[in-house]
Amino acid sequence: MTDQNKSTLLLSGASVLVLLVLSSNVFLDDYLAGLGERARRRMHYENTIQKRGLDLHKGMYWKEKE
Amino acid sequence: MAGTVQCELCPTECVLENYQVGGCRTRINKDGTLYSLVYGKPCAVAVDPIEKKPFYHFLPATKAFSIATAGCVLGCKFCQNWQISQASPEDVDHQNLPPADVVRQAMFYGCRSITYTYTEPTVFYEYMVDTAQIARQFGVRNTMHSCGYINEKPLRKLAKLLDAADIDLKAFTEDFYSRICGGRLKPVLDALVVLRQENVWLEITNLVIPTLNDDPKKIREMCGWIVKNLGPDVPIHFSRFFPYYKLKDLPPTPFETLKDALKAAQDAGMRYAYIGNIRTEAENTYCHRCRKLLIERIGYHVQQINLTGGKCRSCGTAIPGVWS
Amino acid sequence: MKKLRTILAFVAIVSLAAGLFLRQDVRVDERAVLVELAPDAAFSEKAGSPPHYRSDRGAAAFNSHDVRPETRGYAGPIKVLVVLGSDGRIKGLKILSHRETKNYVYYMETPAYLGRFVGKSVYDRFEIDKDLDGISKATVSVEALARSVRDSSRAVAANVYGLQTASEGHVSAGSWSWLWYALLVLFGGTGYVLTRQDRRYLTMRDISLVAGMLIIGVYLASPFSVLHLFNLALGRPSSSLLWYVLVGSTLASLLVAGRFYCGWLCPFGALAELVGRVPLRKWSLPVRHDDRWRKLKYILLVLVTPVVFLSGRVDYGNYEVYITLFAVHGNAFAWTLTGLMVIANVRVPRFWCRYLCPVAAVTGILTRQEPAYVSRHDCPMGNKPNPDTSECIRCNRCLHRDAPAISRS
Repeated sequence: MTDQNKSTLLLSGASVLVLLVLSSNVFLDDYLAGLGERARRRMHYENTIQKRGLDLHKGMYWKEKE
Repeated sequence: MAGTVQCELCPTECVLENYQVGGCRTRINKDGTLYSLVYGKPCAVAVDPIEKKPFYHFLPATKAFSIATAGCVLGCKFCQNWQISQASPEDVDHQNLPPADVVRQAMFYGCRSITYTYTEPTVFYEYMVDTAQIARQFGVRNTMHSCGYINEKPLRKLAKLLDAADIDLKAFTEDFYSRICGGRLKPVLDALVVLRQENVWLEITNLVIPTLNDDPKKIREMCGWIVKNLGPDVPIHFSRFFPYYKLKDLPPTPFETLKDALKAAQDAGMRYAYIGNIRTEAENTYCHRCRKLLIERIGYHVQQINLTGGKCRSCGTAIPGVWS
Repeated sequence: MKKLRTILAFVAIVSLAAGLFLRQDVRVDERAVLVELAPDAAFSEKAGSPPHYRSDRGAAAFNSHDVRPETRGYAGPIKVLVVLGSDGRIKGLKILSHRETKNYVYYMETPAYLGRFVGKSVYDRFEIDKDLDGISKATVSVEALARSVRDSSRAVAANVYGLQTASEGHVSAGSWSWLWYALLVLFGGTGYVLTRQDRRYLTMRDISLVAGMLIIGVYLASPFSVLHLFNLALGRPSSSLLWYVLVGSTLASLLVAGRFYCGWLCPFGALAELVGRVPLRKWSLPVRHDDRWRKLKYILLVLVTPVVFLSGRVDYGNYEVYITLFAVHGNAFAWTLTGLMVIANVRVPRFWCRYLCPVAAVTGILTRQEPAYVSRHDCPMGNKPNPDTSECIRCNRCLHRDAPAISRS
């Protein structure tokens, strides 16, 4: 790889990183935190609740949101 | 991306994302459907005298088959059963006891009724309803001890299967309910009225806590409300508070306070007021007409019953309650 | 360069105006609440850093989310409008919005509960179950509310009333920080003037760079940043003397000496140059390639400016690696970028400065052309011969009094 190619690669990577930094500034609060929470809840269900032998029984009196 | 659901069982009406568990810890959203985690999985199963529930005017001196699962819709800082009510179902031991087996065991132990109690029956609603339906078929009565924090629709459906209910009316201010319990007063009052309308035998319990809900004016207001909206025949049980769980810094309720509460109830026109967990005459039932002793109790043990066909043996007055 | 100036000016002005217009609903709502909380007081426009309203009686009112946007409850930020007196005591407050479970926290929104905050001072603990009541089933929400009110009140009390409380973030170098900075500017400025006459003084630049790195970077943790200009444009100057010395001296030096800050004071530039002096082979890059990529920093600036001005959130525009490095503040992406930008200097000295830095972009746009800066083989910016002065950081190596005047191409 020539120096020019290496430089292009590095600059492209840096640009992507800057865009990631900027979007995480704007969306971090909601999106990333939400992702982390979602993953944590699913882990808890699969590893703790299910393993404990607690089955799912269809609930009454609820509705879909959105 | 799986959808969000909103539970409509209790007034909290939690909105749940995928894999999120509700505030009661017993209901979960999985892939857009709401499930109960505790169906058929009680963590407490016992046979108790029905007086313990406390029911004083419902099948006295009989045994109640009592069950509960973990979880609760509220978070009262004085909860006597907090180890299971404030726990999550995955944190406590449970047995597998499908509805049919509950009824089978209740009959095996000679219990005239099944009581859904200890924690909060609202959280195991589906389990309770299915069990109650089978119990009905076999002539076993259904009773519950609840905080009454349940929405009207599910309550009306449940009430058609219930023979009696003991509701905790913990205080008569919104402040107490939200600060100390994490809920609201109004839904509880609404639930009491619904149960009355559905002709479920009602008894009320009130835990008197020094400095928090022992204001005599408020107690009088509460009893006045009960007489006006539910009638003078609803028995009320005032209980003594002992420092526990998150309220360890308060003193136990002085006997005087409980006596005052009793008097306030009687002055408001309530015919049957009791003091629980203290050995006094206030554990006995006296005829509201002639004041003769009807039922003598020492703790949960019934010593004598002076009723015939639900009427006072001395003066013949029909005594409110369910006697057979 | 002229075209770029026009584009940036246009984008900046339009987005600034649009942002002010769009955010006026929020201001209207907040003003309505101010009338509720303090019916007899008249409040100024929201301004300053942190953004706040000022009343005719000296009280300050603010939206806790403006001051501490990172505080979150169970499901999102809890935004509270707080009125703070000059004695550091809360005069009134109201919750503007939140995303918690309504039925657990409705009591938290009532005057009965919020009333317990009134009269509290910024020196109080604001701890649940200590000096504030908890609410059953709403622990996380109530703790977030207390934290939000406390931290934003303390920030405003510190910046507006000068009341220092222990938890007010990192304690800066103290009230003499402006003097340290001013002395450094003086030293660097002297070196600049001297080296323009005589190349023998060039060691002063090395000293200035190292001093800048240590004092401005590590000790004061306050490098010049495009965020300062954003705050200025949004009418939110800081109240600290250091801020005025920093911004003032940089803009002044820009007028008379172009990118003097970059070449003599910038702590990250210093680090970049020093890493670049490691004797490893440098990449050789064709001029066309280098020219093309140097435009990147202008593109980034033009991208970020409207985002900041439309939203009114200066923290949305933070991608500068020296902030991450010296304030020790950033997420994984920011630190990755920073690490990359430090190491890149081994192959391309002043990599960040050449291609990405927004301060380089702004100062480059605003600097005058000085054709006497002809560039040399040892240019720290690796500039081509007779570069556009926007790329020159005034190290004064290539400039001597007897350099022939070259006409601009």
